[in-house]
Amino acid sequence: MSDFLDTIYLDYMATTPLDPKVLEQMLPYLDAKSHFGNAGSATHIYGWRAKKAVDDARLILAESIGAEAQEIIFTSGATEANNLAIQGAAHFYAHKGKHLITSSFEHKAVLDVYAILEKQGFNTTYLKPNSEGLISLDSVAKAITKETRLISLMWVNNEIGTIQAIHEIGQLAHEHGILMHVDAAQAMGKVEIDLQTLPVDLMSFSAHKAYGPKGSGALFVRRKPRARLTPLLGGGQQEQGLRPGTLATHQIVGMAYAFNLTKKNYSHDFKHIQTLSEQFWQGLKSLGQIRLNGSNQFRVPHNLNLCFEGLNAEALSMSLSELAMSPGSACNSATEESSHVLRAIGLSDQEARSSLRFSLGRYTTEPEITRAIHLISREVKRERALAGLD
Amino acid sequence: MYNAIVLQFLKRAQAKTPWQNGEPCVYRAELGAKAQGSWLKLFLKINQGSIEEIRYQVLGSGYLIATLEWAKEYLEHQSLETAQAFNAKLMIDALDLPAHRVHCALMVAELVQDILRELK
Repeated sequence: MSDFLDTIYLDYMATTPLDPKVLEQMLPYLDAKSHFGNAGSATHIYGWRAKKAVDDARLILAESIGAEAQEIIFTSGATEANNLAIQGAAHFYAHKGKHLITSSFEHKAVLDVYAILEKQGFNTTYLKPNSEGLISLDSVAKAITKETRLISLMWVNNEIGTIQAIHEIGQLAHEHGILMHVDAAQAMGKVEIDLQTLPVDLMSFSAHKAYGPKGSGALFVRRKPRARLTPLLGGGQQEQGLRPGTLATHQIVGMAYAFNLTKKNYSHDFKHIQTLSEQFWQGLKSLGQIRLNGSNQFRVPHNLNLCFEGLNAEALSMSLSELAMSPGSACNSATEESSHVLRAIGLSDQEARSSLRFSLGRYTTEPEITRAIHLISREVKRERALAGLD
Repeated sequence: MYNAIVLQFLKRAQAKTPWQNGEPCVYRAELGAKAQGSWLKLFLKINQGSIEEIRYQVLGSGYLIATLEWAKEYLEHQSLETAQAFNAKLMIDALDLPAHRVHCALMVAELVQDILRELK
């Protein structure tokens, strides 16, 4: 088996490497001699230093998304942020209505939370995306009832990279007095985020999708008008009583710095990735019988979910051990099920099993893309020949 | 994580033009359906009581391709008598197939035995 360091990394939607500048910012908070204190220790300098670091990080992170510092709740990741937002809002506003809306092609971190709430007596509607992987405003409008309290949608889909019309859907939600939650785990660095103008009440973030550390995330909770949540856990008054537990100073510092860096590098990174993505797609398209899953127009260039018609994606993926990519999302790739996202946009089980997700990032290079096209082309031809499809 | 031996045989698999109908000493069997994403066709060329050459076509998972390639390499130049004892367990053990991939070995074993039955 090849050394993994020789493997071309094309799985940036699964996770991104820690930016070395981010690591540099984090290290002092892991140092036994200086900044290791508990941000909750109010009586000595170790605690004060940690608290200052957390306060500064909160401000930096908030500024990078157009929010106020007090609107940021630190969590262990987007999964926890989604849980807190959806369960927290559903329970807090349950006395006003128990109907919740989402889509059928959300991440499991949302779908599973909706399933939990169903068991607790909430009513749910799962909107179906069209074949482009987009949720129409009309379908949202039709799903709203007097009982609806929350709409939760993913901004950038983690498998096909399609972008939802969050602004328009959020506006519609607010016209009906409904809270809008957005899972933005994949959005940071891929779309411009300005919560001053977005009609969104709750937004979940993940650090490791944007060159920050794993195990760190945040939930934006709007203050004006205030979105109210019931906490999921008991155990302390940290994070305004919404998320008890000692704050992970080094993770929080890393996430804030990573988001700040991502915002600063947005145009440069976007252009770089867009150029390489186009080169990659053009290189593979010439093989024929390869389709791009999801909208060609409303999508981020960072992600290419490709259907290799008639072939088995798992066999391709196994043969391409020089490349790191995913059949479906990383969270699903250990299971035998074909992707629920691809099936939701109308692909047959067979087409879903013929699809692979390639995702590019800040450190992807042109020689890597050229080599990836060469390797994939060679494998596709070999497996087509084996199946008698050539 | 994929096991190294499966990867090794998967990467060794190469397409060979299948023999046409009527080719002397060639016996064939087929299983599965392309439309369902799992299909294999096996050709055995028998000469003087032994398997002279094996060719195949396959559409399916990496495990299925690797299993078929392993079977080809194992059975080529074996006597028909030895081939009679060929079974799924040999492949499962040699490739260390996980439980949810055992069906790959069962499919390949069934095809081989189909051809051997036809020969009898």
